[in-house]
Amino acid sequence: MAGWRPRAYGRVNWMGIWSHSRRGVKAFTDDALAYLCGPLVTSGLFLAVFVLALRGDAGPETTQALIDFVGPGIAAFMMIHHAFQHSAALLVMDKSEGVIQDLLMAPLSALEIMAGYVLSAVATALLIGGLILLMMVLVADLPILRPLALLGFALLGSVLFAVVGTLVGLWADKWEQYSAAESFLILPLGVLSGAFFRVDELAESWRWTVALNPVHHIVEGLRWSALDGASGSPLSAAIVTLLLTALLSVVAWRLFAVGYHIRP
Amino acid sequence: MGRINRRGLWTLYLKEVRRFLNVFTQTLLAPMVTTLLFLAIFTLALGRSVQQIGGVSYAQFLAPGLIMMAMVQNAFANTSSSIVIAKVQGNIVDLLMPPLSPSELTLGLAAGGVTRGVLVGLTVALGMWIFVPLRLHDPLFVAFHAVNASLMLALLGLIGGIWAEKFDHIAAVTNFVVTPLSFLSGTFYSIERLPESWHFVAFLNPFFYMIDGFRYGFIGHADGSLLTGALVVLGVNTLLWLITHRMLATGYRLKA
Repeated sequence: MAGWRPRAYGRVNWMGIWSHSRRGVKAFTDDALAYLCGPLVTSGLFLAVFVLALRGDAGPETTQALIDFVGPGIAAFMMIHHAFQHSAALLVMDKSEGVIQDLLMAPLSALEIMAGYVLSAVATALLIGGLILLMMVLVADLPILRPLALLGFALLGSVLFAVVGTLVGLWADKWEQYSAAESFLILPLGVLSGAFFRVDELAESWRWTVALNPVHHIVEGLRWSALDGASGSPLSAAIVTLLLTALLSVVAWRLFAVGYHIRP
Repeated sequence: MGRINRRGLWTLYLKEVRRFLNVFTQTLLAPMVTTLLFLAIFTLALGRSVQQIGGVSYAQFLAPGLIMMAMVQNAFANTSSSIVIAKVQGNIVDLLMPPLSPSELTLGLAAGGVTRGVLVGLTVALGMWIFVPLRLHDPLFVAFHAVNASLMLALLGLIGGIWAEKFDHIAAVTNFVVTPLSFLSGTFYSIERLPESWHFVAFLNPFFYMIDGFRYGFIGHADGSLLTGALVVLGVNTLLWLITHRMLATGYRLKA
């Protein structure tokens, strides 16, 4: 075995990250019908139901205003929800099937393992969010004034929730715990964010909850990028989301490094 | 054992009920939270514009529809997941081997789904009651439609579960059949709001009658005919029962 030496990697194992995240994307494309069409149908239903419930009591202008407001909100909600679901469910599945051991054995650092989960979640979430937004553009009056900012906020939002997904995925050893996190944390955050209603519809005493909700800032940022004259300050939305994403990413990275719930 | 295997039937029923009670946060509390979130979205997004429907506030109109939606989705989830998990894990034989006739299997499994549906309905109603003043106009209609709607979806869940070969098939049925039907059947709006030419679609949809009749039990106002509704629901349930019975008797996709 003279001349044998271990395969050399640079500072970053790019090929490893690529294979790891491609595996996640493949899990998605293998069942594209359920993962892609499901959210599209649900988004269309949401919009239809909003419009039908409003019809008759309000003029066409109010109805159009509602579509313009709710459309991007639905796209943002679906994107964030998918980013969470994808990384958390993949991680829980890998843990329960023992695949996580293969990842821990591979020449991947903790950060690279985490990046693989986050990347595939972000890629698929952007695909879903983008398709839903495209569907909304057909019915809503969305000028998409600042496409770059839109992409930036979409990226921030999906990275944030993909990272939250890895945290939940590390913590949850059973599917029950995963669905508890989804029902009692992610859905309330997503729904009570102002994605579907104007914050000033809330009672004064409840508005502070929205200000603390990261989804609210992402939705505000996305709306500002897509619509004319949307309220809220995009800069503070960007800063809040960026800081939170950075903080949670560090936490998730450390947990991967110490092997929280993945190493004996 | 006599003509009916009472002990077997009771055991099967208990197994079905314990299966969801063991994870009650996921099967009872989670639907309650989700349904309350729906209530929040719709009253906040539309409460100001939509003043009155059928003589009551929008929240009072919406609440019975949402309770019904939670019931049917959970009744469906209970029986469909029970069958699919058993098929995937291979323990479906534990259901087919015991001395249980197709009628007893149908009854035991469907009753488990109905129990989950009704319990979810009660939990959700309790949660809603904190936020929306719910009054009972006619408890008989509430009970009749709660049980029959849960039964309809429990039977659909059985049929779907027997037909499905993996979880994705059931997810597809949920995404493309159950959710659209429960969304578009007047949960969130009065049928009068649909364009005239679409009314007939609503009147062909059994989901519409169960939501309409159930809501009548609360607010005392119905969009369609109550008698027709009750007959349609009973008729559909009989038909679904016969189909399920036939599938279990012939072993369609269950026995090699």
